[in-house]
Amino acid sequence: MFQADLITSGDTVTIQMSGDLDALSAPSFHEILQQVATRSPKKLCLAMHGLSYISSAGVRGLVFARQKMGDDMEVVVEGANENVAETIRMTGLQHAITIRESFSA
Amino acid sequence: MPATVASLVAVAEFVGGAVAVAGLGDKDAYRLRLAVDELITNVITHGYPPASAGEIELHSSVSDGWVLFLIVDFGTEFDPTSGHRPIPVVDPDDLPVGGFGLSLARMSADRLIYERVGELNRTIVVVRRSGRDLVAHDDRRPPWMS
Repeated sequence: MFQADLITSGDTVTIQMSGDLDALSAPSFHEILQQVATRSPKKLCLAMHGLSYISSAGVRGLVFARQKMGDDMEVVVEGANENVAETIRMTGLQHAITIRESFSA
Repeated sequence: MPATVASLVAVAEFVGGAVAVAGLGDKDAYRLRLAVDELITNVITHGYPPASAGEIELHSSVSDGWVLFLIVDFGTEFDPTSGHRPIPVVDPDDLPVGGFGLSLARMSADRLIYERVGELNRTIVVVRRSGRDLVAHDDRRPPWMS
C-alpha cells in the first residue's frame, strides 16, 4: 500500500514515500503534489527510501512536479532503490531532477 | 478479474507468486512486474469504455528460471508490440506527461508477443532469469537516430 507524508521545513518540502506507486496509488500522489504546488517551495525532496515499486503512472507525477512547479524549484529524489531509480532513468527524467540512490551493503 | 486499477493489487500478488516459483532475482522480478503492470494498466485505461464491466484474464506458466504470462482481454484491438517508439532524449520540459507505459513494458520484457484471436487480445510476456538491467540503452536514443 502506498503512503506519502508531507513535511515542510523552511523552503523545502519533503514527501516521504513508501509502498508501491502504480496506477492505483498515483491519484493520491498527484493530489499531494497539487498541495505542494500551492506552497511554492524552493526545493522538493521525494524521499523514496520506503518505496518498493514505481510504474509509469508514478513517473508521470514526477514529470508533473518538474514541469508545473517552475524552473526555480529543485526536485531531488533521495533513497530510491536501484530498480526504482532505473525506472525513472528509463524515461530520461534524470536530466531534469537529481537522483540519489540508496545502496545496500 | 475486473478491468479496474484496484485489480493491480491482485496482479502484483500473482506476479510475486510466479517469481517465487521460478526463482527469479530482484531485478528480474521487478522487470516482470513492470511489464505485466504496464500492459494491464494499458488495457484498463484504454481497452474498455469508461465505467464498462470489462474483464482481464491473467494466466501463468512457470519453470525454473523463467516466467510466461498470458494476458487476455476482450477490449479494443490493440497490439502493444507494434510501433516501437524509443523514449526520445529531449529537453525535460518537453517530456510528455504520458506515454511511457508501453515503452517500459517493451524494455522490461525479454519477449512480448501479441495476437488477435476473434474478439480477444492475447499478449504474452516472458521474463527469464538474467539479472540484466531494466533498460537496454539502445532503447533510448536521440530522435534523429529513430
